[in-house]
Amino acid sequence: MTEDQPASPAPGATASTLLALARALYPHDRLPDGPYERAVALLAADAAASAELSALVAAGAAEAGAALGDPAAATAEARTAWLESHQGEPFFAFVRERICFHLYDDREVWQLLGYPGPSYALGGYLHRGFDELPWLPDPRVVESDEPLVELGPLDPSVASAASAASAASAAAASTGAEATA
Amino acid sequence: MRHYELDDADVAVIVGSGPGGASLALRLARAGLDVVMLESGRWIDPEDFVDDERIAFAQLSWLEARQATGGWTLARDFPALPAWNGHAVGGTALLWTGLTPRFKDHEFRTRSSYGEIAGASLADWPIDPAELAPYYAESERAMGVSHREGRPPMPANTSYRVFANGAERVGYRHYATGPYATNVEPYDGRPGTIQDGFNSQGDRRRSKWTPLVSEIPKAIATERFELRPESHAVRITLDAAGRADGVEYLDRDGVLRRQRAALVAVAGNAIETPRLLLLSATTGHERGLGNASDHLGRHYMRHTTGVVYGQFPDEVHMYRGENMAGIVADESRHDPERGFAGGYYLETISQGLPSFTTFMEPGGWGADFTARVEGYTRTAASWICGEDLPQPGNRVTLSSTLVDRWGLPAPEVHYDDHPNDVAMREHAYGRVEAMFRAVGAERVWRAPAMPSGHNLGTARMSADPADGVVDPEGRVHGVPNLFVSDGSVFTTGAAANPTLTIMALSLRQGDRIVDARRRGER
Repeated sequence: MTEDQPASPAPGATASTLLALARALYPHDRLPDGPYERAVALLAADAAASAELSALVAAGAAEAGAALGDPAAATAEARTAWLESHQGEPFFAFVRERICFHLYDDREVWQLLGYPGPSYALGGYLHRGFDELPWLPDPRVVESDEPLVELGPLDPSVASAASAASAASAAAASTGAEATA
Repeated sequence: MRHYELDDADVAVIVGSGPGGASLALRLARAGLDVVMLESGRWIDPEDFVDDERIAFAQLSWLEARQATGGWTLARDFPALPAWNGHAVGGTALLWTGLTPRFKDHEFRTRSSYGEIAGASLADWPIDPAELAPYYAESERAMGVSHREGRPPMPANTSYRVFANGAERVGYRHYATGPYATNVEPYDGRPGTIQDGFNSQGDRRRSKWTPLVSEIPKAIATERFELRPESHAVRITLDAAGRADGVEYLDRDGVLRRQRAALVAVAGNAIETPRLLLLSATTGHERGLGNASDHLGRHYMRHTTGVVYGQFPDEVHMYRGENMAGIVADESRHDPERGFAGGYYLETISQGLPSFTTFMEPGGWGADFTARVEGYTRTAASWICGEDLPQPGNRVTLSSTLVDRWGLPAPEVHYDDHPNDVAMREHAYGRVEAMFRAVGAERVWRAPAMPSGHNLGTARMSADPADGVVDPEGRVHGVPNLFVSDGSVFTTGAAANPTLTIMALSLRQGDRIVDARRRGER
C-alpha cells in the first residue's frame, strides 16, 4: 500500500497497543513508526469489514493492553513474551498475518530493505544488472554435453563430490554453527 | 471474431483457456472444426497486467472458495488456497514461469520402473513415449522454448549465477538456464525479455509464452473459433444415447446458458475439471461423468516441493531477471539408492519482498524472522520440483458445506504426503543447502510447499475403464465424445514441470479427434 493510502484508524488505545505488538512481531530497528502505523491502520480497516473481526481485535488488544500496562512503554521482551503465550489464538493469527501482509507491502519498507518493486517502466534489468554478480565466476548456461543418468546412481566421482558436500552441510547444521528455521 | 449460436449443435465446446484447452482449440479450428471456448475468467490485455505481486495476485488468481484438508502443510499454512491457478483468459499459464523439461521414458512407466510401493496407486501410462516425442518438439516450437532448435539459451541472471556455481561445486553436471518458454530474442511476433522479474504477474511484455498471446489470438484468426470469457461452466449435459450434447454455463450476468455441442473437452485444471465432471452427475452416471470405477478426483498430485533459501555475505538481488531460469537435472533420475523412488529437479526461484515474506517461513515472526528479511537482497532461493506418488485418498471432492460465489459446492482438496514424498523432500532440501553452502551461504533455511500451480492426476488416463477416468486419447470412459485436455489426465506426475506435457498431449488429442472426424466417426 502507498504511504498516503487512507485507512480507517483504530481507536486510540487499541491502535497504540496494536502498534506496540506490530513492532514486537516484526522488529526492524531501521524502520520508523510510519510503516507500522500504516500497517495497523490497514489491519483495522480489514477488521472493520466484519463485526466478528472487529470484536476479536478490540478484545485481544484490550487483553494485551491490560497485561502489559502501557504497551508502548513495556519492554520488547515483555511484548514478545505476551505474543509467544498467545500464539495459536485467533487474535494472534489475525494480527500476525495482517501485519506481515501490510508491513511488507509498504513502499517505504521496500525502499529501506532494498526491494525496488516494478521495473518495467525502467526497461527491466536487461541493461541494469540482471546478470551482475561479481563475486562468483560466470557459469555455463547451456545444457551439459554429458549424458544424463536417468536410472540408477550417478557416476561415482559426481556422487562422492555431492555426498561430501552434503555431509559438510549436515555437519554444519548439527554443530549449530548456523541457525536454521 | 466468429460467433456461434447457442443452439448450433455442430461446435466443439472447450471449457478452459489454459495451455491444454487453448492448444486443442487451435488444433481443431485450424483443421476446420468450429470451436466455442468457455472461460470462467476475464479477458485481460497484457498491457493491463501489473508489476506488483499483490495487485497481480488479486487480478489473475482463482480466488473462489476452496478448502485444503489432510496432513500436508498447505492445510495448515494456506487452507483456503490449496493451489494457485489463473482465473483469466490464458489460465494458469499467466502465472507460470516457463521451465519445460520433458518426461523421461521411464516416467511413463512408473509401476514397471519403481515396482509396487505400499500406499501408492502407481500405474504405467497407456501411451508410448515415442509417440509423444514429435508432439514435444512441436510444443517447444509453439512456445519458442529457449535452448532448442537453435533458439538461444536464456542468459544467466543473478539467482542462476549463485545456483549454477553451487551446483558445479557439489559435483552436479546438468545445470542450465532452460529450456525456458520465454523469448530471449524476438520470436513468433513477440519480443525478447527485458528481464523485469515479473513472470508470474502475466508478463506485460508478452515475451513469456501464454495462450493469451499465442494460441488464443491465432485461433481467433482462423474464423473458426469463438472465445466467451466470463462464462463459467456448471454442467455437461448428455443426450438419451449417453453422448455429451451441451454445456451449461453462467454468463457474466449470472444468467444460465446452454451451448449445444458435437463434442466437449474439459480443460479446467485438476481441481475444476473433476469438479465439473462430478457436478454433471446424471442418470446412468450417478457418481459423475467418467466415474463408474470411482477414480474421478482421486490420485491428486501436486509435486513434492519445498524451497531452500540461502543468505550470502554479498548482494544477490534475486528480484532481477526471469523468475525461474535455472534448473539442475542430476537428481531427476530414478535411483532407489537415495532411499526413495522417482526423481526431482532443483530450480531457481525469485520472489519480490511481499512473496518472500509470505512464503519464506509461513506464520513466522519475531527477531529471527526479521533478521532474514533484512538480508533480502543477499538471498537466493531454489524450489524443489519432484515426482509425488499418486494415492487414491489424495483427492478432490465436492464440499458438503462450502459453496462458491455461484452457489455451487466448492472443491475440497485432500492431500497427505506419502513417505516417499517426505524422503525425497528431505533429500532435496539437503542438496540445495549443500549447493548454497558451497558458494558461501552464511545461513540456509527450509520452507514448506507453496500453493501449487502443478495440479495433476484427478482424471487419470488408463487403457482399462476399471483403472481410470479417460482413455489413452483423453476420452472419458463411457462418454465417447467427452474429453479431458489438461493435467488431470496424468497417470503419474513425473518430476518435470507439467505444462509442456499438457500441451503435447492436447496436440496429440487434437490430431486424434480430427482423424476420427475425417473417418466419419462422431
